[in-house]
Amino acid sequence: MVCEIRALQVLFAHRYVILCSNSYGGGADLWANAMESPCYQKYKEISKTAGGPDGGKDDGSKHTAVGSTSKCDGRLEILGVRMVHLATSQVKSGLPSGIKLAHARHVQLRLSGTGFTAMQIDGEPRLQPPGVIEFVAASEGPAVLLQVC
Amino acid sequence: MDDFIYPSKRLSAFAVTIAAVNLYTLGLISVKRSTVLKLNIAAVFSFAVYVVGVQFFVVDFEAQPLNYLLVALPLVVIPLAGNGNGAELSLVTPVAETASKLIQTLVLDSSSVVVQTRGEAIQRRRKFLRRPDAPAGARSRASSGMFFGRIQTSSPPLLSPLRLMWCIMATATFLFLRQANLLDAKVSTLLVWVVCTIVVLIIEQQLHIKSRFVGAAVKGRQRVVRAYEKRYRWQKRDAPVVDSSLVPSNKTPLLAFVNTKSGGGVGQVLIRELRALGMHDCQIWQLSSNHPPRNAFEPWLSYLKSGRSLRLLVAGGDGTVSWVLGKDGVDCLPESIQKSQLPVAILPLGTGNDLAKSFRWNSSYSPHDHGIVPHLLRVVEANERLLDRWTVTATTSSTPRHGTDGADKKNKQLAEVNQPDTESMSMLNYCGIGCGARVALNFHTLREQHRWLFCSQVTFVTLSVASTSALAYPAFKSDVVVNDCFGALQLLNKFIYANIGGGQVLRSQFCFGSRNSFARRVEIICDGKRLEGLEDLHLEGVIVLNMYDGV
Repeated sequence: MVCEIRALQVLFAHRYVILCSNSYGGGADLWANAMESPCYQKYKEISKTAGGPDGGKDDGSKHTAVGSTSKCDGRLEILGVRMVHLATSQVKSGLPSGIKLAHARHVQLRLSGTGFTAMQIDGEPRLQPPGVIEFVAASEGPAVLLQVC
Repeated sequence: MDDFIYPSKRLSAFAVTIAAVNLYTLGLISVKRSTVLKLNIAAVFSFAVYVVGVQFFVVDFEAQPLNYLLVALPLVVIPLAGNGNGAELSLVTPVAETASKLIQTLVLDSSSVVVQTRGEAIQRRRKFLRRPDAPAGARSRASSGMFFGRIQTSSPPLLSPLRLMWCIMATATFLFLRQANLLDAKVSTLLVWVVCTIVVLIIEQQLHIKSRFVGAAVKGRQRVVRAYEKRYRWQKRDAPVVDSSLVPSNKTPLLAFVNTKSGGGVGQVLIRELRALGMHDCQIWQLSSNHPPRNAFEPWLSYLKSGRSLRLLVAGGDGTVSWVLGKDGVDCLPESIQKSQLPVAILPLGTGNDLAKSFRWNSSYSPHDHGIVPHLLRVVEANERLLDRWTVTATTSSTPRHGTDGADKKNKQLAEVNQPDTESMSMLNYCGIGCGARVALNFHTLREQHRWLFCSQVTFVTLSVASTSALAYPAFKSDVVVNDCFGALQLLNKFIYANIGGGQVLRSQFCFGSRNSFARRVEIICDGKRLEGLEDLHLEGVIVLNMYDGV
């Protein structure tokens, strides 16, 4: 009887963790725990040699370089994931939660082939037919939010 | 007749009656009308049942004077602990002196709000809406002369005094009849209570007569309605305006946006609690499609233009936050108002609260643990941070739709190539493509298909009835039960998500063949350079993150 209850509790806790972070658990742990890939290292090298991916346009003060990240660095973090990572990202296990791919200012994703791909923007899911998905900084500029100190 | 009923049976009959009446009254809640009103009806009904039950339950009512106390007890408790207006909630959560001082900096005094006359208000509104960057819909409505939004001025109906009145009235009749020996049959006692209840219900109906008239307009009773509506609209056009010179300089008032749809509907309770703290009506905005966030800024326009700042509190999920921040909200304001004047705090109520989590607004709101006060204290002390916003443009290169005829198909395809479908969305947190998104999509479609299961009143009522009858809650505590149900609903949502989501991940693990491999289909170009070596990583999905905070 006790055993059964224990098993149930474990089950409950497990499910709850999965659910709690409906998606990617706020993101913070995801990038920090992610594995570095040859792909990302190559990307870093390229951007170092070029003095930032977009060279001279970099105004330095506001935007940070590749690698160090913040909420308002004008850059997006791109992660590759496998099914396993979805599970590991939910638990603080120390296992990699994804594969770092790039840290870029302008991102374009090209989907080829046929059939729809599942896509999720800010938790709102949709089906995306093959095509180009482009990420550009919004013209309205950054938003101001309050953070608990 | 009393001799035939054993005490235990009587007790169970009493419990069943309470459960039945709660079922009925909570059933009333499922009809879409003002929740406050319905909760009050529920309380009144339950109280009636309580009193009748006490009379049946206690055998020798006359013999013990203590029994009168038993009947009288709820008369004192209900007006105090009931759910009519917010003042009672502050009794539940006592605020420390230092804390209340801090919270007072968020509260706007009604003395600093000037009510504009009709003419001024219309002019100001037209001016605001005829700006070139105002949303198209709003502009057309403004030019048609219709009032496009309503300031939420309805205060909660003052039903506690009403209920008190009812209690006194009913008790007086009851005692009088007892004293005069006019009454000995218990059936006639019941009749007295029923009649009194009906009287009170009629009064409550009368309080909401306004909305009835508006409803009648649709039905076509035009002559009466037109006269009434003329007056009504006139009232609506008198809009409050916050005068910046009247607001003390140490105050940065709060402007709360509450999405009553998210979080299983706990927003109504939140609104009541904010009002109980003394918030002005123009500080609370109940979001809905008819009341977009931009209308909430109307009373504050001159205040903001003078350079003073506000603190926004968004109660809802991620979607609500981006709604308030987006084109229908903060972005709609004129350029002379800086964004830093409107920092946004979040009260996580939705199913997905990633944005809130990354800004450390972790605590979820539960009206009966601590209430809103600790959260407001954190709002006062929080720091401003910037967050990048992104526009996602999805362009469809060739739509895999099926054409009809050969020639037609060719033309169609050509047309599609020349004019690809583009769609642009805004992004704050992250964008997932591939495996992770699949889980969310399945959950979403299930929720759309079986909406009732997830957030409908059916689940709500079932849960409330279950908990009421199980615990034999005193009827006047129905508010507590209701709030417990909100929490249960949110948890239920999460459970269902876990089951569907988890199962899907496992299933697709086996279903993904090498032919359909995501890694082969995707190509990533960052800052104009294509990422090499993606094929070797065997990716099943890509996540684009915005919110990572590096050390």
